[in-house]
Parts: sequence; structure tokens; C-alpha cells
Amino acid sequence: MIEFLTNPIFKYAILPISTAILGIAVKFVSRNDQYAKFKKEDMAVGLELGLSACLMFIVLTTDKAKKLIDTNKILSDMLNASPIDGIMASKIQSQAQLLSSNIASSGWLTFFLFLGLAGISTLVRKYGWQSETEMSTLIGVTIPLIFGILAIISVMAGVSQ
Amino acid sequence: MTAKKFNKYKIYDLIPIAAIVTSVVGILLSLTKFVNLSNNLSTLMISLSLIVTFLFGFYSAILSKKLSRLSRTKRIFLSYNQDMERDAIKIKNELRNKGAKVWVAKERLKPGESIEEIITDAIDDADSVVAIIGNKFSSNMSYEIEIAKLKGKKIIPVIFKSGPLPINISGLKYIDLREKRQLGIKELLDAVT
Repeated sequence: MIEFLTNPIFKYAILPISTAILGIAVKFVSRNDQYAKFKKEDMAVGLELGLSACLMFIVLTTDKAKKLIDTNKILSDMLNASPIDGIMASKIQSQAQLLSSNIASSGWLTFFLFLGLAGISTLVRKYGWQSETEMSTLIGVTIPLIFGILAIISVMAGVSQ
Repeated sequence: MTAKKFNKYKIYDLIPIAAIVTSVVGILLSLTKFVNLSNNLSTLMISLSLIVTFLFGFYSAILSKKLSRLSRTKRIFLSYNQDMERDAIKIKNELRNKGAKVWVAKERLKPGESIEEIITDAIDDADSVVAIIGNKFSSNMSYEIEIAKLKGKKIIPVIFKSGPLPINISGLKYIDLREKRQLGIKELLDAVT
């Protein structure tokens, strides 16, 4: 099970695509369908996916920062102990370095995710609608959907580091 | 033509486009840091997801039409003249009891709304249009039937009173409720559900 969940097929293909499909299904089944059939507008879940990815990434980065604080505390305790276990201390230090490096790049990814979200929502508002109720296929549905999937993939990749 | 098209866009529209391009480039650069691109499986899966998503979005209009056809619940647009309202309500209730979703203008139209737009959308959503024929045939009914014809919808004329069958549906097989009413209603239910 763990092998399956950490597999690239699951992380980068099954999870993002099934998230989009579930998002579409939830959007469709939760609206009043008394008078309307399934429409292409139900497939416009890209912005929701992008926003979820952004918020998820912030929470997971905070989790990583907490892990870094804990790792530094362990390292500090280890260096204060006598005698110092050099091999273990070196291992924990490299762990702390990796976490610091990830947190440093997380800031950029968060910025790019929110920048994209702002840009795409503006584009959809201006050019994503064909009429009052109908969205355009490319700017209204496809571009936000690709951005949402890309955001989820990047969050998955960032988290698994 | 091209100049007109370009005039539609404003220079500040480039700001969201620039933001999107920067964001996508940034996300891809972050991805190259997080994902080992020499791992062919990861790169393949990321590319595959993006291609599938593109196709999914690009063909969303066709996909949604195909998916809506899979729905078993039938949607019916009820077209009638004001003087036939009582009979139309009876038919509506019988169809709803059978599980069909029936669109009736009186229930849906609100003051200030564009009648043409809402009627066109409703007919577009419907699987079939049931036209209730009485003594009179209004211009509204004529409009609804024309739209249904234009959209290639199934039109089922239901004759309640002995009036002339309108010319734009005179070639269609109708259901006669003038004499064997129960049999006619059964026939209608079978035809639409």
C-alpha cells in the first residue's frame, strides 16, 4: 500500500486526475439539476484545484518548518551531550539542511502558485465567458484545469521531498 | 477583421497573461528541483497528466454532452398555451410521478429575465418537447417548437381538443387524448420516459 501511494504513477497521474474527476462529480451532484443536464461548466474545477493546492502547500510547509525546529532541537541536545555521537549528529544535520533547503524553495513555489491563481482568475473573468452562463472551452475550462493539475503535481512533488 | 479583433484586447490584459506565464515557468522550475527528471517514470507521469487534462478540458463540451446522455432521467420541456394550463399541469404531474424532470415556463421565469434566452437554454437541456395542442396555438408555442426543431429535439404533439394541428408540426405523429385519455397518457409516458 505504502509503495503504491509513493509511486510516481499514483503521485503524478492517478491522484491529480482523480482529484479533478471527483471535483467535477461533487460539483455536478451538489447543484440543483432539476432543469439542467451535465454541462461543460461543471468541468471548470481548475481554479478550485489550484486554490486547494495552494492552501495544502502552506499547511504542509508549516508542518515541515515544525519538523525543522524539532530536528534542530535534537541536534542541539546531541551536541550538548558528552560524548558526542558524531555519525548520528552528522545524519541529523544533513536532515536539517535538507528541510531548510525545502522550506527556502517553498516560499517561491507558494508565490508562483498564488501568482498563477490571481492571473488565471482574472483571465477567466475577462475572457473565460461566452455568455452570461456559458464558459469558453479554452480560457474558461482548459487553461484553469491544466493550471490546477500542475499545482497539485507540484505540491505532491514538494511534499514528497 | 484582425485589427478589430486586436482592438478588443487592452494593453493591461497582458498583466494576467504575464502573471500566468511567470507562474507556470516558476512552478516548472520548482518541479525540476523537487522531481528527479532522470527518473523517466516521474517525467512520463507528469507529462501524461498534463496531456490528459488538456484533452479533458479541450473536449469538455463533447464529453459533457456524451455524459449527459448517459443520465437515465429524461428531461421534458412542456409547451402549451395559457388556455391549456389546467391540462398541462395534469400532464406535468403525471410525468414527474414517473420520474421525468419537467420544465414549465410558469415555474421558472422570473420578472425581468430574458424569456428568449431562458426558453432556449431550457429546450437545449431537454431530451424532448411535449407540445400540448388545444383550440388555440400561440406565437410563444410556435417559437418554442421552432427552437426545438432547430436544436434537433424530439417533439411530441399531444392533442387535447379538436383544434387544427399547427403547420410546423403537422407532419409529426401525435398522441390523441380526446377519446382514450388513459391510453394516450400511457403512450405519452412511454414515449418520453
